[in-house]
Parts: sequence; structure tokens; C-alpha cells
Amino acid sequence: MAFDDDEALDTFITEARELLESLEGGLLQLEADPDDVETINAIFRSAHTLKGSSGLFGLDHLVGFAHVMETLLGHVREGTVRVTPELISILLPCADHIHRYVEGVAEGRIEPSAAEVAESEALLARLAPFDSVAEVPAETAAAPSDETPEAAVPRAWNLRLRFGPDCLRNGMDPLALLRYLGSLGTIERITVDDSALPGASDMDPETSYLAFEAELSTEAPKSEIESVFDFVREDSDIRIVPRDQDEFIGRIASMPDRDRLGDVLQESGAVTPGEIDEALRIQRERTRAGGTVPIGQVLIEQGIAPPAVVEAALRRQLRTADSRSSDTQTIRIDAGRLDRLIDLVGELVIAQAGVGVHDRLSEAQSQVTRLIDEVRHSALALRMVPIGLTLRRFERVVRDVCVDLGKEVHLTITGGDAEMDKALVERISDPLTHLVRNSLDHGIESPDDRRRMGKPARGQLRLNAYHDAGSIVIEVSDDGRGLDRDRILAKAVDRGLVPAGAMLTDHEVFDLVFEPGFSTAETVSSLSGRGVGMDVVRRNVAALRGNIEVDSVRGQGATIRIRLPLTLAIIDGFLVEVGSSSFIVPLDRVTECVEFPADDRDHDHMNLRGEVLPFIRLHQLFGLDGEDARRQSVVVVEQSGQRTGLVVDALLGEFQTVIKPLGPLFSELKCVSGSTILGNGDVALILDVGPLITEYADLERTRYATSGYPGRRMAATRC
Amino acid sequence: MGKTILVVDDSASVRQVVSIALKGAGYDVLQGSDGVDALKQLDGRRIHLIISDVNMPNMDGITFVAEAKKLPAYKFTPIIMLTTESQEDRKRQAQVAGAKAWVTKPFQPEQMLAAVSKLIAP
Amino acid sequence: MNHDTRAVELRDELTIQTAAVEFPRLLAALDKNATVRVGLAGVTEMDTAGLQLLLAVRREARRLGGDAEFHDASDAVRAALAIVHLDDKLRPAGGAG
Repeated sequence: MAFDDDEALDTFITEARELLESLEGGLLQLEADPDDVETINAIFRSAHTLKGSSGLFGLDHLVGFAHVMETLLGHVREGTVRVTPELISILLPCADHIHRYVEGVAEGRIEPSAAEVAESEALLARLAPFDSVAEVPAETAAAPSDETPEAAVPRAWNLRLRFGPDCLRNGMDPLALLRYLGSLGTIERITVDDSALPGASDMDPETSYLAFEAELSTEAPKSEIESVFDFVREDSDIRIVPRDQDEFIGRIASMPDRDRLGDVLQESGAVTPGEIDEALRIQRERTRAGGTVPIGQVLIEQGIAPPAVVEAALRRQLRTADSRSSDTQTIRIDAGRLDRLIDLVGELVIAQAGVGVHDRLSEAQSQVTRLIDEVRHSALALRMVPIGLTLRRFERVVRDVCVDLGKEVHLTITGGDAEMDKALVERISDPLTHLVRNSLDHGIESPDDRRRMGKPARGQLRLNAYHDAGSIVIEVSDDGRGLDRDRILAKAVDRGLVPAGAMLTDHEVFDLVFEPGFSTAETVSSLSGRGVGMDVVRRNVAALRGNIEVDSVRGQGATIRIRLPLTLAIIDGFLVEVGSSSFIVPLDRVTECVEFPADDRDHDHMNLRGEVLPFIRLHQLFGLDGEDARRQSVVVVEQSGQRTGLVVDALLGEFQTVIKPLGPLFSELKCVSGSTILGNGDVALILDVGPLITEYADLERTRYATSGYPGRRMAATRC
Repeated sequence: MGKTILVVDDSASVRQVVSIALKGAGYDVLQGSDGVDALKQLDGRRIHLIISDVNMPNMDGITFVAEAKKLPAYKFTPIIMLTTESQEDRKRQAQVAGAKAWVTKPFQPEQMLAAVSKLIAP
Repeated sequence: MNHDTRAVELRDELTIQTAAVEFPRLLAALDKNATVRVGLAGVTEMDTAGLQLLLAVRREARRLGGDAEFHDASDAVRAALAIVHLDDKLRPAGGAG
């Protein structure tokens, strides 16, 4: 609700320009002389005045922004926040921001543009670390009582008003308050009680002796009536009691469960929060004096609430205790129970899949299919939480690391409302921390280096999350030095990871940083150099069935992209058969399926379009009985750039798989991540492709050394 | 006969908006741009209500209120202080100085009008 | 019974600003068994202190065996009294009592 007066708005704009000029001048002066108290005061006043006057014109954006600045500057003034060049360098763009916004207002744009909102959020985020006390801007509009929503029907109230003896001397005139009271409704009856007037010789004409009793009929809630007497409350005795108690008693009886008497009374509208506080204060005093009194008794004795209403509230409270079912908004559920539900839904999905095979025609069946799918989605949604909270934790990390490293970095967080499985959120936090520190440590240059390269001294770090094709993608990007392709390649050749002279794409080169023991940083800092490399990050991500990749332009920055499934509970699987057993390969690991060439049967590798593809015979790996099928297939799987073929007897196609964790007995088992139940009731093991590939590679090496038999050894390590 | 209100704030736009609102409700308005200026404005005139900001150059609102209260003509004049949520200690100082009513900044003109009419009729 | 009638005129403000001056002045006009007629035509402003003052004067007059009568209330006085439902003679409005 803006104040609509062009002339006044012009005054405001002129004034705002002047204030900003002096604000800016002051900041620059402060940079030269950080202890100049006069300047600090002047700057504070500018922000303060800006906030105050913008509020009058309903410029809420500016009110909120200036409020944070004002609060921060207030702490500077009190000496709890120190003036540093860093502080100044952030306050100056804040002033610029206000300047641009004010010019927008001058052109008639009251609402900030999306860009301005984003800019202000970014600036406020940068201010925040300086002042942990900085809070959300105060509410602009005073809403007298929104917690007691009441139908606007006139109601009668009895008021007993005894004003403090000094109220007249304080300039508080009861007649003026009563006149204002009348504006809330109708004063049906009012009497002046002069019984406290002393004899003429004892009377001080400046002392207040009069009391008033009034009957007010109004639609306003009690809290609004009470607020009339805000300015005199401290020394006065103000009692406001509903005339029609039955209405409150009825409302209390029909109220949802409440634990506390005060809450019941407050919600009924019979008593205001302020009155409860007062009663509690009196109760505490009494307790201190040795006598414990119930709050209800205090309320009655003080005339705050009529006995009948208090009694009704007590009855209500008792009923709550009997049948307590608290918290209607959110329910805390044991995660195990939730898993059990999801598990059951999963089985339902499976069972239904079995039915679906036999009867695809029935319309009712397809209806059930759809419903089960929805149930599955909503069951999974129960585990979903926004990732924002996890991302926001990095504000602090960035700030602290920057202080340690003497760097200036601005963190932008976007997409914090993207949701993912709670279990995933918890487990992605460590890899993310590593990536953020890595960016700060090795990616973003020191301010001096940046300036030399013609970049802004302050680096940009961005955390972004979004949903993409059933996955969640989390990006960590910086505008730092980027990856040095040549150096990575040289090092890889040095370590024997790549043959010298190999022609690799950028992507292939960048992927090398995820190799174990690979680090290009010349100096190891206290932050990142903990022996935990990018290979661990990749392993962690892979363990969550995700993948990770890097994009980089030398000198301009790097983006690391983590792609994760939304949930760990259900995967899209690829069902294969080996002998009489079924296995599930996670579909996102499968790149293609090819026929097993008959002439490669005696080798352990095959030719796939000119490339050598090693393969694993699942039949042997798991020591299964029976002969190989006559025509076998190879499922090509890929993990972390490594490709391997899995030799199977039959391809049964895609299969939505509910993962059932293996029992503790099998916790040592490496190549299997879980099991699932098939439509026909059979159990299928879910293959864990990562360990399968690495484990097998290890075995290969051992085999060369000892001529052992890989399949048997693998089977032996299972239990 | 309209009652007279003195509005003291270093922001011209705040003074202007408050003045327009108060005049619209039938009050007469005087303005002061800081404590020193406001004391000059008093000048023994009959003032029914003073609205003052706290933070002002030259002389802040609390000093101004304390000074005004020393003058016999304004000993009992009601005073509305413009405070902010973050200034609880300043609010207490203002109360000691003699300002018993307050409006929290930022405010809407109608909030100011409500506070004023609790204290004096037009 | 000596029925003495005196007249006092109040003018300008009858408020907290003037109460300390007006109160003794009014009390001085009271006497045993005397009725004081207080003219309110010249009162330009009245607040709670003014109301309280008139009520106190009336009580004191009655205690002395006389009375205080108010007449010719100005608009400012009537407006103030109306807030607390008193008529221009400072009697509860609506006649009862």
C-alpha cells in the first residue's frame, strides 16, 4: 500500500539521491579512516533514513535491503563489527544497487525487476557473513492480530480501565484513548468512576485518579481492543472481558487439541497473548514467594478471563491430554517405517507387473497400474527434501575458506528447492564440500592474480541444482583459472595413465583428474591437500549411482557436474538371465547390448567395433551350474569411463526394480548391491557395476601373477 | 480549531508524507529537520503533540525530547518517538526522556494516524 | 441555611497544562453551603485532567454543603464530555441518575 502523492515521491527521490551520495562519500572516506565516528554515524543515518522514508511509499524491496544495511551499520557504530576494506567493498555495490533501484522508482517502476531481486539477494548474501546478527527485514505492515482469525461479527466486551497515576503528566489523555476506542465500534455504555479522587486538599490535579467502565460492541478482535491501550499499558490496569461468555465457551469446546491452557484461551480470542504473559509473570512472582498457583486461577483473580471461560478451557485441556494427537502440520516418522512403506509399495509394483504381463487388456488393470504408479511416486516423495539447506551450509564454508586463503569469493546458490532423497542429500554433502574447497583452493585465483588477468578481484562460485530427466544435477562452477589441459595430459602420460602422443578429447583429458592419486596442484594447501582426491569424490558419487564430469575453459573457470538419481530406493534395471538365475544391471550403466561373437568364446576380450572390450562371464563369476546357452549376449556396461562386457544367456529387457538391501550376512559381498523380487516371485541379484569392473580388473592382474581362476576366486570372496 | 503537531525528522520525504496525512485528518502541522531546528520551532507555541525521529544530525531525538520536556510549556506534551525494532535500548532511553508513545519505522501513514488519534483529537 | 451563589468563568484551556493553576482558583471560590456556578463557555480545550478537576470541585462543594453547577458548556467541553457519556451538566447522559 504505497502512499500516493507524486510531489512527496519526488521529494523522496531527490532525498534518496542525496542520501546515497553522502552514503557513498562516507564509505570512501571510511576506507581512508576506518575509525571516523562521525562518518560512521552519518552513514548509519543515511541507511536508517532511507529505510524509514521508503517504507512510507511502500517500497518494500528497499525497506528490506536498507534494513539489513542499517542493522549491519548499527553494529559497526556499536563497534561489534569492524570496518575493513572488504566490508567497504561490499557496501559500495549495495549503495549502487539502491541507486539503480531508486532511479527505477523515479521512472515509475516500484516493483524491483527480477535482475534487481537477484542482485539484492546476492548482495545480502555477501553482507551476511559480516554480521551474523543480520536478520530478515522486519514486517512492514502491522497486522494487529492474525493468529486469532475470527468471524467479523459484533461482540460485546466489558472494559475496566484504571490508568496509571502519571498518565496525564506523560501526555496520555484517557479521554483521547476512549474516543479512539469508540472508533472500533460502539461504546454502548460508559461510566466515570471518581471514587478514587482524594479530598481536595490531598489532590494533585496533575495526577490521574479516574477510572472508567465501558461496554464496547465491536467486530474487532480482543487484541485490537487491547492495542488501543499500548502506550499506557505499563502503568495501567486494563481489563477486557467478553460479555457473552457462552460464545467463547462454545468455541473452546469445538477447538482442536491443545496442550496448554493459555493456548486454548488465546485461540478462543477471550485472552490476548499480552494478557497470558502478564498472568505468567504474576504466576512466577507468586511461585517465587512460595505459593504455587495454577495459571487459570491467576487469570480469574486478575479479572483477565471470566471463571466460566477458564473452566471450559480447563476441560478442553483435559480432553487433549486424554486423546493426544499433536502436530497437525508435520509428522516426524521413523525413517525405518517409511522405508517399510516404500518397500511394500515396491512389492506392489512388482506384483502388479506380474499381473500386467498376463492381462494387458483389462481397463481396470490399467487403472490399477496408474494408481500404483502414483502411490509409488507419492511414497517416494515422502523421502524427498529440498537440497537448499545443504547448499546453504556452504555459505559459511566459502566465507571461512576465503578468510584463510585471503581470497574474495562470492557464492551464488540457485535451485535450492530442487528435491532429492534425504539419504542422498546426506551422503552427497561430503563430496560437495570437497569440490567447493577444491574450487576455492585451486580454481579461483588470488585477488592480485585475478586483477592481473583483467578479471574482477572477487571470484564467483556458483552452486546450482536442477532436475533433469529423472535425475538431479548439482553443479559447482567457478570463474577461476580452469583446468590446464596440457599439464593434466603431461602428468597422465608421466604416470602411465595414457600413452604418450595419445589423441584425447577435452572431456577425456578432464576425466583424468578423477583418476586415483591424480593431483595437478603444485602446492598443497591446508584445505584441500588432505590426501583425499577427486578419485574419492568420484567413487562416492558412483556409490550413489551417480556420475560426475567436468567442463572447463582455461582461464575462464570450471564446472563440475554431479548427476544423481532422485532416489536410492527404485532404479530402472535391465533384467538378464544366466542359466536359471536372473540378474539386474542398473540401466543407466548399460550402454548397449550385442551378440556374443562365437569366435571370441575362448578369449576374455572381444572386438567391439575395432576396440578391445574385456568381458566377464557371469556364469563363471558366480559359479553357476549348467552349460552356457548356445547363443549368448554381451551387455556392455560403463562406469567412470571404463567399459566392460557382461556375458549373459538371455536379455529380458527393462525392469523397474525396487532395491531390497541385502542382509548383514552379505555385507562383505562386493559385486552385488541388493536384490529384488521378480513378478514370478523369484529373487534377482542387482549387480554393482563399479566394483564388478574394478574387482575383475584386479583379479585379472592376480590371474596373470598366479594363474588362478578368476571366476572361482570371485565366488569365494562372496561370503 | 485544529490541534498543532510538530513533526521532527531529518528526512524531508517522511516529514512531507506525515504532514499530508495529518493535515488530511484535520491537524495543523509544523516541521523540524533535526533536534536543534525543532527546538527553534517550539518557540513557546502551543504544540499538542510532537512526533520525533531518534537518529538525526545536530541533535538527536532523545536529546531533543529531554530538552523540550524541560520547558514548562511542553512538560506534558505527548511525544511519539519513531523507533525501529532493532533499537530497543534507544526506545527505553526515549521513554526515560519523556516519550511514552512510539511508532515503529518503517510505517504506513495510516499507522501514524492511528497512533496520533489515540493521543489527541484533531 | 445560607444559600450563597457565586459565579466563576473558566476560559481557554482546561487541561493538564493548566490544571495546577485552575484547581486552586476554583477551590478558592468554594465556601460552606455555597453554590458555585461555573461557566464553561470560554473553554477552548478540555482533557481528562480538566474533567477530573470539575468532578473534584463538585465533590468538594457538596462536601461543604453546597454544590457546583456547570453551565454554557462550549463545543470543546461538550465533545470531551460526550466521550464518557456525560451531559453538559456533567450528569450521566440518558437522564438516569
